Amino acid sequence: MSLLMEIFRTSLTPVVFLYMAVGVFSGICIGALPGLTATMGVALLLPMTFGMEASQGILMLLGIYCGAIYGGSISAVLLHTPGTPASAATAIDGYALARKGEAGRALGASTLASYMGGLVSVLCLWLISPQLAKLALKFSSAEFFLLAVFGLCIIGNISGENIEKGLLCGCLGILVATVGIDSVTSYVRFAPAGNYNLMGGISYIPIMIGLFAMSQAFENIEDIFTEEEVQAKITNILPKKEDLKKIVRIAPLTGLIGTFIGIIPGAGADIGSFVGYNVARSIAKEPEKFGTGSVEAISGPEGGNNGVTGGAMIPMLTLGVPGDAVTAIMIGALTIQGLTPGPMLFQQNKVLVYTIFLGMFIANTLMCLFGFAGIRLFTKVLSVPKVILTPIIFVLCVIGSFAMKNSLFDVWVMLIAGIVGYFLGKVKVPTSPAILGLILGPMAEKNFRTALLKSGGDPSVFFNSVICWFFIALIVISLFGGKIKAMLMKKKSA
Amino acid sequence: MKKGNYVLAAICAVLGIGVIVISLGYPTAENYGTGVPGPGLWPIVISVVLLACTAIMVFRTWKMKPEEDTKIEVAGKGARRVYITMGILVIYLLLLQPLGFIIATTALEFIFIQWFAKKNPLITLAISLAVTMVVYCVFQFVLNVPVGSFGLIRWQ
Repeated sequence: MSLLMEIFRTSLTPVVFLYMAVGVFSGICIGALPGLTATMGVALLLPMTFGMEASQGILMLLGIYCGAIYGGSISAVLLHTPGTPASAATAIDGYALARKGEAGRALGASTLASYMGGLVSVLCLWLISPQLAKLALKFSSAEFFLLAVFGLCIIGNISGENIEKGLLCGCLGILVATVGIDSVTSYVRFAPAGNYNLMGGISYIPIMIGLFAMSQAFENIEDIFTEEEVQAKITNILPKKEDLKKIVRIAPLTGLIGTFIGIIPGAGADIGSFVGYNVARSIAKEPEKFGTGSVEAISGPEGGNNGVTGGAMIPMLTLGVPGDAVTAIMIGALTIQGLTPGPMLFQQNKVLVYTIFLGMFIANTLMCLFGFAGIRLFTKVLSVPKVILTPIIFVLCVIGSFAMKNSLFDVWVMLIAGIVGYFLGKVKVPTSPAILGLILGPMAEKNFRTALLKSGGDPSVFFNSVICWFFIALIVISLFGGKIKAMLMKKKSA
Repeated sequence: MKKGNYVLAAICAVLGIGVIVISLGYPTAENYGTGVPGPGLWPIVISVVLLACTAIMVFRTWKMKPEEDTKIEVAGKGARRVYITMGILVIYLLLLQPLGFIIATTALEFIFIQWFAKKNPLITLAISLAVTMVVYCVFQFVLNVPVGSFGLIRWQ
């Protein structure tokens, strides 16, 4: 109880509420605009938090995250164009309902389902994180190395059909992270003598802004002159009793599933959304209506994608491993504030951690309130002309990458990352693995070498504990699980 | 898509081999005598994985059926617009240091908005200046993120 009082006294001040409200509001607007993703929104607005206190900054980013994931459903329903990839599944039935003149009903269902999914994920975050952090305190360098390797192996599983392209991008990220002074031996790698920018290493924040915001803006330039108009009338937003029952039956469950998907490093809200859609279809009372405008089909993915938000925070806060690209940026936000995500955060900054938990609940509630009260306003956002918006994004990318270290070198890094990201997108290379590589690569290398240093070069240090074997099993499953399953299925069918 | 994959593979192969060659010149575990691998080992391991992925990608691209080979738009109107945009941004970054944020950014916004929106130049100038000043003031004075430390107009 005293902790709660301290949180309200020190962290959850009216100013923080205001920042959160601004975050949720801008997040919904960003998510609603096709072409602007949650990751892009958080990357673009991250520099705004540099001058804030840690709790203010991180809660504003959380507000943007929750708001943007929900906001994507607005354009999915009204334009059949998902505002973010996480709303692709919602577009199927949401748009079908809108075409029947029931856009308000679809948006109401999506708002409530998002809220329920978000709440379940906050609850899981609250219950699981402290326990996982306690367990993580027992981790030594060997365990952290294997954890990072597991996170890197997951890259293949989240890369869809192009596993080798995902891994390739992950490797590029890891290699970029090796530039500069080696943290163990202080040897300078891949940096010409006298080039202090490269010797200090390449920051991943400008790379993220480039890969997720600048490259997306380049893509927007391709069809800059196409503007979409919202035709649908929005009425009956509050769900009726019949719809309410369907949402309450499906959204919390898909929210729970989304949470566990979020916990897996690298698996984001888009995966949570499609898994949520499939789960909803398997438990729906009217599965035959899927695809024709079903409230159950909207509740599934919306519960699932907002469930991911809390889930992705769990490994980020407890282990320092990002659950998805957005939480990877949040690691950057915490690092800039001088905080290191991981088990020690729960020991040294307990108030901040619980402020984040409580803030996430408040952000979800604000998202629900804004969703119901301001949906007509958010649909107006869809009319903002791309011809003005895109140049503004360029400026925000520039100022964002400059602001971290007041370095024009970082701005160049951002622009190069944006250009590389644009061309990688052309050949269907997913860019999220690069971020995982940038964060997990140094973590893996440092812990690998520290473990060997402690053991005097004895490699058996990686097989000495139950936790090590647990991670080894996870690595094997993540690498070969799919193939073993396919072989078993083949044998069974033969 | 096939051509694109081959170009990507060539770049990755050059990069991977280049990293291995450079890393082989770094000190090894014996130089440190602590049992800790030298600074070159990790980049070599990752480059080997990169080369393996590249080889798999080349093999899969080679085996790709013609119907799977989707066309990549790299020379269309939209793509050309992107290349021009990239060029403008490079020039903007080159001018950012000498001109300063306010002048360079106002000019950048003016060029893009005038190009895309084709409004009255005076209106475009007003929008460009307004956008620049809002972004500048929000970062510099409200959020305490210093952005005006270089160029012709300085606030620090």
